[in-house]
Amino acid sequence: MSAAAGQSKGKHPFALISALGAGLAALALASLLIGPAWLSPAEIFHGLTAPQTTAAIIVREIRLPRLLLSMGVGATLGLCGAAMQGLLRNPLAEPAIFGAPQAAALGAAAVLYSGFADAFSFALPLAAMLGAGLSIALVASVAGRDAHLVTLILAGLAIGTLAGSATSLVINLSPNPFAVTEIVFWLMGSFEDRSLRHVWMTAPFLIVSAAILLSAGRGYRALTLGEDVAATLGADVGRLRLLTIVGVAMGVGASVAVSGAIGFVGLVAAHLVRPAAGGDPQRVLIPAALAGAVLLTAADIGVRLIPAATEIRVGVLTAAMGVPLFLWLVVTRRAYFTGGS
Amino acid sequence: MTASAFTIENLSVSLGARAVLTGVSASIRAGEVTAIVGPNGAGKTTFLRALASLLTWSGEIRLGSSDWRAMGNAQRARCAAYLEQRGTIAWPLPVRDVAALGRLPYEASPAGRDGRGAGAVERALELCGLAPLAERPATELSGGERARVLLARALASDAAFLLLDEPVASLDPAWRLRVMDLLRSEAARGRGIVAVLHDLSLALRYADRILVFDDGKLAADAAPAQVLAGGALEAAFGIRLETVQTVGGLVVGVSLPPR
Repeated sequence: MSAAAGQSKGKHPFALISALGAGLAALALASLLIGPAWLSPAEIFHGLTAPQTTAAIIVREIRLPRLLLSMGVGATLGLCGAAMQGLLRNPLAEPAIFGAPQAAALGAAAVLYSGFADAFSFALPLAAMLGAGLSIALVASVAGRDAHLVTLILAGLAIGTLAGSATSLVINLSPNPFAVTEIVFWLMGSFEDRSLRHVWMTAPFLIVSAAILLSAGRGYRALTLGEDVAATLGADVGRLRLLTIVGVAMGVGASVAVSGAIGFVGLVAAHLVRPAAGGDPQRVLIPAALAGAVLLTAADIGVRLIPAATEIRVGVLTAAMGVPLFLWLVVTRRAYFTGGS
Repeated sequence: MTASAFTIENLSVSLGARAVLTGVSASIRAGEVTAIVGPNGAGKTTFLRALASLLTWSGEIRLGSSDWRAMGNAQRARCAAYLEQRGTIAWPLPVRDVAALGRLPYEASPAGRDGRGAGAVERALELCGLAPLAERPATELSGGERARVLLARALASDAAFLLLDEPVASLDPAWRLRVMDLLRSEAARGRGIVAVLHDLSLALRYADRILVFDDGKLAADAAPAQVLAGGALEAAFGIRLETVQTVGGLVVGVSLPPR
């Protein structure tokens, strides 16, 4: 991601990236400390290095996987949000608004219901990615070249609703009440009870997704001036569209498969860092990923601190943070709806 | 880029079943300002978009001796910069960063990173009177200022040809003249300028050649004086023109019907 020749030097995101990195490191430490059993930093250090103590089991089996997943999924969702915004040239774009997590959840729920998940461990992430990919491809093709926001939201609404009711159908038809509870809780999104095995299963997809989306950054910058001008600047717009769909589907699908449906992280993360990145759709990508990791790690610490009979699901918390922001953006950017700029 | 001319042979474009452009043959030379004029819907923008390879066309376009169609997107981008009619800017990028987008086609090659890029951007900002606005978000500017930002983006490229769709349409009279002077001097530096213009006085005053489009066909392709004398403009627009000789050249007005 080298800066373009002659670009403004003033708003380089290095300071932003360092600040976000420092914040993330602090949260990561806090995430290892905080829980039903509070640990001291010394205990964490011993837990990571010396085996067979209670602290070691808590850190390595419970908190570390949870931390790695919340950071990885948060970064992926932040990056996916910023990438979709870049492709569609719209700050309101976010996978959740296009029904991607819902469609991924449908794919995953179908696999859970059919029992394929037990037979083949990659069945769940693959089905989730397929669901997410189909929904995003469908929204992108329905919206067409101009990607007018109203068209996008209506298409996303339709696909999200369809995926949601199909998931309800799967739950409805499920013969086993325990399976129903499992699917429903899983749909709310959580990092509880995840192991390092989940981390290893998810990481390759998240890494490939990030590599794909970051490689498209220059294309998003060209798209600032619209698809036609981008093409005359040498961008292959069709390929860019495909890369984004594949990258977002892989990232959102793998995330949903491991953590359930967590929405609005991409919207919030990109929105928070965009001004500091000078509005540039390429330079916003890495800060948005870091902000997503910060947000989701913080939210996952938050759900452990909120006193409740059963742990609040992190997907519920992110929706509670994200939806008001989305509505606020809609209100303050009404011009998008009336065709202005 | 040293290619000296676009050679266009029998260029036709259809949108659906409708033929928008039929059998256009012309050549567009570097070092000249070529004005594209004609009534609304005559095919001016389609002609420019075909040159920019933004739509499917039949016929032949060559740049120098190279087949334009066979050249890739990236290579075409280094040879010709395209300015859209009523272009949009999606993100609140600083004016300088929008102009720097014109350097994107050269970023991929090592030659593009030799520092010439930044100079080209600053020069383009200066020429378009944007230096004082360089740090302002481009989306917060007025329509005319935004149009100059987009023109600066095209000027910042190293492209030998600039394909400009109504570059002066949203500018005030003073800036129209400044931009036309600017395009003339770019042509003097060896660039080929192709500009769709609605202001016939500007076309007659500043162009080396005028292509008159009428109903998807090329109705005239000649020097301004010949185009005016030949009556192609009056025939294409269905109006009568009157000219007034001024110090700077002919000013063309539409003859109004009696009240």
